[in-house]
Amino acid sequence: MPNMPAPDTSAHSSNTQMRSPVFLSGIVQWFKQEQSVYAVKVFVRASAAMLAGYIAAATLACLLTLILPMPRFESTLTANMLSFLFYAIAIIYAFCVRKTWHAWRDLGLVSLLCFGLIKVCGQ
Amino acid sequence: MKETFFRTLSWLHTWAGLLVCWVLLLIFFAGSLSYFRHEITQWTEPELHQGVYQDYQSSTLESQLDKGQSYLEEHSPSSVQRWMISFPTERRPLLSFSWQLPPEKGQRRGKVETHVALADNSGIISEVRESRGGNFFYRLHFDLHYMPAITARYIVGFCTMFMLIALISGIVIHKRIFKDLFSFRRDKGARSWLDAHNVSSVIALPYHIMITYTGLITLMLLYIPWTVNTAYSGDNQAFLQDLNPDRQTEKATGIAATQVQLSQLLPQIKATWGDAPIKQVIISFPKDQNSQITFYQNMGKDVTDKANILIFSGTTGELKYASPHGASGALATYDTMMSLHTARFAGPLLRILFFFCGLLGCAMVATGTLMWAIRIRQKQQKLIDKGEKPSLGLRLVEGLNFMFIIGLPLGTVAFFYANRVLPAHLIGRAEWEVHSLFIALIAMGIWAIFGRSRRHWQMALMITGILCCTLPMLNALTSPHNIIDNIQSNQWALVGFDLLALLLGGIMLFASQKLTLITKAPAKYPKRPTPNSQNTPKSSITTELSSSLEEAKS
Repeated sequence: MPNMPAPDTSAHSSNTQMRSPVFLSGIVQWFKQEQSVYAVKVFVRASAAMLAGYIAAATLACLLTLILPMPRFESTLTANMLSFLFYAIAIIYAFCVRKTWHAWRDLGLVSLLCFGLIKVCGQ
Repeated sequence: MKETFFRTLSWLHTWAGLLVCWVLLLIFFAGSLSYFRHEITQWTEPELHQGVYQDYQSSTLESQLDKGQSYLEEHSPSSVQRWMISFPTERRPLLSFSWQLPPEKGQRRGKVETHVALADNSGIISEVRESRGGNFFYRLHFDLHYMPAITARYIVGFCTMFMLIALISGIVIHKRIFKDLFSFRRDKGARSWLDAHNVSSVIALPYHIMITYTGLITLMLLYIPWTVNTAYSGDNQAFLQDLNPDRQTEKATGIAATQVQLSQLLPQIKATWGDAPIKQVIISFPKDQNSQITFYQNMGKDVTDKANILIFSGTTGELKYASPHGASGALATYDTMMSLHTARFAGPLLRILFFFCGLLGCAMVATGTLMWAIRIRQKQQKLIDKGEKPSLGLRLVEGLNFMFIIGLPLGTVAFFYANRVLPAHLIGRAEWEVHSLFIALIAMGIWAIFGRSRRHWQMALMITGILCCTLPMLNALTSPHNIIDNIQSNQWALVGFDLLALLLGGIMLFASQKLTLITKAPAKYPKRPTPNSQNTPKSSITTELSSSLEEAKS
């Protein structure tokens, strides 16, 4: 199964490691295993997709409400309707970007940029 | 995530689809049924199957309004929040008078009591059995059940987002989309399930995308409220006022006042709307100084979902608000999206098409989960052949598949049976109808603990199919009319319900029959590999998927 993770085995190996007397070294060992590295990667990307992606989409939508050349009611609706598209793109980006931590970095940067622009435009 | 974009999205498609599949199945199923919300409600109130149906007539409007007002003044308790007079529409051909009680502690909205006028003006039916009817499925679609509505909406939104991701990634990994639309290789084991999954997704693909995205939009202000905060600097009330100008913000004053006679407002309405039909009149805080009268126009087949309304003061009869003619582009888009999701504009045929598209969505989710179960089983086949027990994950997936795929239709049928079989005056009757749905669902879950083999599927499908097919008979026995009477009196909603029950029951019986054939020849057509079958790992779906991907790439 080249494109399927195997959560069963990783959970299993973590259990056996946990039972070892030296607890800390067990954790270190666990992190060294290939399966665990995979699990951590999935977790980092999934959390980036769901949390950072949401924040990026929401801040981008907020920015749009301010900069779209429409009355505020219309721009709010427009931005809100588009926000799910942004969110979907952000999620897919988080899983497709080459380096795992770049998912958090890039989405975080987008959020920060949008947030800064909101602060600038809001005045 | 993976080496290539395609592989990543293929991985994403699998997990985004599978993690929330059973909730998605429930949402799709309840949503498809809610297309027939009013028809189902009509079916669940057999007291109203005789002598109440009437067409809208503008000539009798005045007398109907007067009659409604005097009836409500006489019969409703003094604490009511609003009176409602609903005129016959295409989908709900009744004249009804109702009132809403103030909400009880812990509830967001008060109970509505509805009385229906007889068509020949000879009286009023006030005793209708307590049932949530089609509204239950409508609420189940986004409020789920047994939990606070807001929590449920977040869960539903979360799952919908997964669905959107699964759809997008599904399209990307599916390069031969057009070719696969026409390829269904039956009796080829897992390959057939994959084909079934492709066909059910691709045929209704525009529908799936539309319904998922507009579904998010219906509740977008709950999911992403920050835009309103930004644009209106935290003044949410101002935004809501812009969104629904007819929103009543005033509270009842408690000072009594005389209510204006409704029929006196008719000339003013005629002047603005001409002969356009009226759907409903709502009088909020009757006999209070802040009373307000809202007339709703019956928009019929308009694609946008905007209510066209006129608001009058309840004490003076002065016109306070009229819906503007042209809506702004953004608002029109928003309304159209809402309307596309709810299909309020759809005529009977289009509605049936939407319903079947919804069922294809159910099929898409169901085939996806079935493939998942087959894949896990194939992975463990060698161990199981050696006599080991299937892993907990496999048992869980197979069990939940059985529970939801069979349990949802069975539960719905149980709901309809409970509607007719439970005594009409049982306390908490409406709730027990709902419980019966979930009891059936859980019963299927318990069944799945004891057996999930093909024979069990076949038996469960047979039971559900037979119960579904006998719904018309149940209707004939427990309501004043059977299907033949209904055809003669042009009650197409009730006829349609019966026919659809027969059709869906028939499909289930056919499916169970099909399973018998496959059971008889397991070696030839291995759908779910039996321990003895010589199943090669070649037919594993993921292998095939990746091989088809490689084909596509080359």
